[in-house]
Amino acid sequence: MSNGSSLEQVARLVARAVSERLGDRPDVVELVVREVVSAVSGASSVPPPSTRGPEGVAVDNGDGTITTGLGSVLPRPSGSLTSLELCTSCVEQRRQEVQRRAVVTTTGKNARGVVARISARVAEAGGDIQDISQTIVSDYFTMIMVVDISQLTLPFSGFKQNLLAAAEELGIHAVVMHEDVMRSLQRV
Amino acid sequence: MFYQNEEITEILRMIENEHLDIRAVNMGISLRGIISRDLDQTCASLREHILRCAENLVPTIIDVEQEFGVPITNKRLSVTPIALVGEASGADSFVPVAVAMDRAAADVGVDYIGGFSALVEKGKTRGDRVLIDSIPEALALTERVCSSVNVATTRAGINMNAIIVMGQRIKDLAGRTADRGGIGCTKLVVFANAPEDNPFIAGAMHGVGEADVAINVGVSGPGVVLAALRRLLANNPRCDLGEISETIKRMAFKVTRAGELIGREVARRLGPPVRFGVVDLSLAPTPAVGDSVAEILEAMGLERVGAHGSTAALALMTDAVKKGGLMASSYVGGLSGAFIPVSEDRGMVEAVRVGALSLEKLEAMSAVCSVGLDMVAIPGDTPAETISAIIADEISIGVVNNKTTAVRILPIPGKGPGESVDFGGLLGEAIVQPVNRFGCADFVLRGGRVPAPLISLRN
Repeated sequence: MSNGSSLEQVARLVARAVSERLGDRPDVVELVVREVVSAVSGASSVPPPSTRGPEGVAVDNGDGTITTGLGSVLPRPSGSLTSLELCTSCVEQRRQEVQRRAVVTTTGKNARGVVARISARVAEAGGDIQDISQTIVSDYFTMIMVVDISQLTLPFSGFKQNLLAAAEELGIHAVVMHEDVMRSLQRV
Repeated sequence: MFYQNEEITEILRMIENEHLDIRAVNMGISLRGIISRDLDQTCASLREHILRCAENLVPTIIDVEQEFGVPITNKRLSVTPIALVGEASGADSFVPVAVAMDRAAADVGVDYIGGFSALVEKGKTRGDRVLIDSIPEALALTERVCSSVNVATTRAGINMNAIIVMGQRIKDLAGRTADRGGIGCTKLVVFANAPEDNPFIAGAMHGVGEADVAINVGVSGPGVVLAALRRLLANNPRCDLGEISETIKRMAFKVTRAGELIGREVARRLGPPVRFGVVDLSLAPTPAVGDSVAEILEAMGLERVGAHGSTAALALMTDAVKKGGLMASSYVGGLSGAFIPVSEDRGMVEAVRVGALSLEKLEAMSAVCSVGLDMVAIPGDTPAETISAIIADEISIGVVNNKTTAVRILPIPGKGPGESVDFGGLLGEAIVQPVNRFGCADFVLRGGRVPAPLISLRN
């Protein structure tokens, strides 16, 4: 890995792969590539820990450079990136945001307004329905929603209570669970 | 869609219909920092320390349970073996420590606390002796305290003197709780090769090699495995044992992933110094219908568990559970196998009732599962020496096979073979099983140490 260009190539491939999973962010790719290359090849001197940003968070040095979470000093990228979005920390943060989803499942006898009532409660709480599917088999109704809960205006427990209460009013059965359960059990 | 509808409904079905739950989230707490020369001081510090470490345990678990939608059945504590904690005091009884543990457990809202324990595989110190002598009174007096004594390891051999004493203590304890069917003995385990990170009561303890505070998780899942097996057999009634193993593996993977997820999340929320320890893969049955290990074995084609072939079926199942679970968790530990607690498993109770499952067959099955003779009721008039001999047999299986075995045996005061006692809740109903009536006292009472087996010489 002494060859700088092949290192850069690898870093680019990895960064792009990660970025694509987070939603396409070419600016992040560039930043990560520069940071990884400079950290691994030792091209830029690593500042003493006291001047480094806290773990994983970049610090704007105010002189047109930034100190990244890995300790490299790099020119401040142009564009509208806020300091939090710089470098590795933003990757972690975006991963967290992306993962904040809940799965809402309701089952019961078909009744008028089930989708409307449940989705209204989701919206009231600041949830964003990212996917919804429903089936009716012999008057038995199943609706599954995947809800983005990263912008919830109330705690998860309150969100869950509201939905369960709405379901009870409709005489149907609802289950609200964190998406991590699905991911853990159904994805290797 | 991020997930197929079938994937989502499968998980709902597992939780709602097939009893998928996290059987136990156990917080292990080291008490090495509170040892004192004064037993009263030790008791006070013990309670204070447990309250400090575990005050947020139950609320955090309830939050995680709410958010993730996976039921967490039991919330428990375990501590450093009390023989080590109490020894410096020079006290003649550790019953006050048990009382302090009981109160601390009640204060933080857990139903059991393990660790009233001693490790005496090679010999006893004064503290070990005091602890073992305190067991009957301590367990009769308290509700939540559980006790375990490790009397053998593959490395050290078997301490027969300790086994003799344990036979007597078990009898004593049964007698002291005779008004409640001898329930005290449900809280006492005699171990060979006791694991130090076991999250399952009654054998839980926080070993001396552990960190300050650890979260260990015991998964459950016989219901999920049984349902999957029944679906397989409905679609393909002539499937072979390889396919059965494969199905169990897949389900064990999912069950274990749930445990890993919950354990890590609880540890993360509690924050340092709490760390995630291990997931115990054991399939743990409950008295609920359909949540039975016995029924899994019966689904494979045995008329009743205990029939010839039961040991092979259990071996197949335990192996598949381990293989599936191993891949699902980064840190596997504890007992990790399958439990066959007789009274806690409806299928086992039924098998005993119809005469299919004998004590001898259970002993054989324990060679291929994770524990041993667990929750087995025997006549109340069984001599202490016979109990010691039963323990010695079971412990030998563990020592020679380099595995954990345990005995949680329940002499039921005033009851004979075929009679039953209902402990209620997760402990279930126990039917008294006959024991071999031929003498063994002369053998057992020779005492001494049985040398470590050849398998111990691995260096």
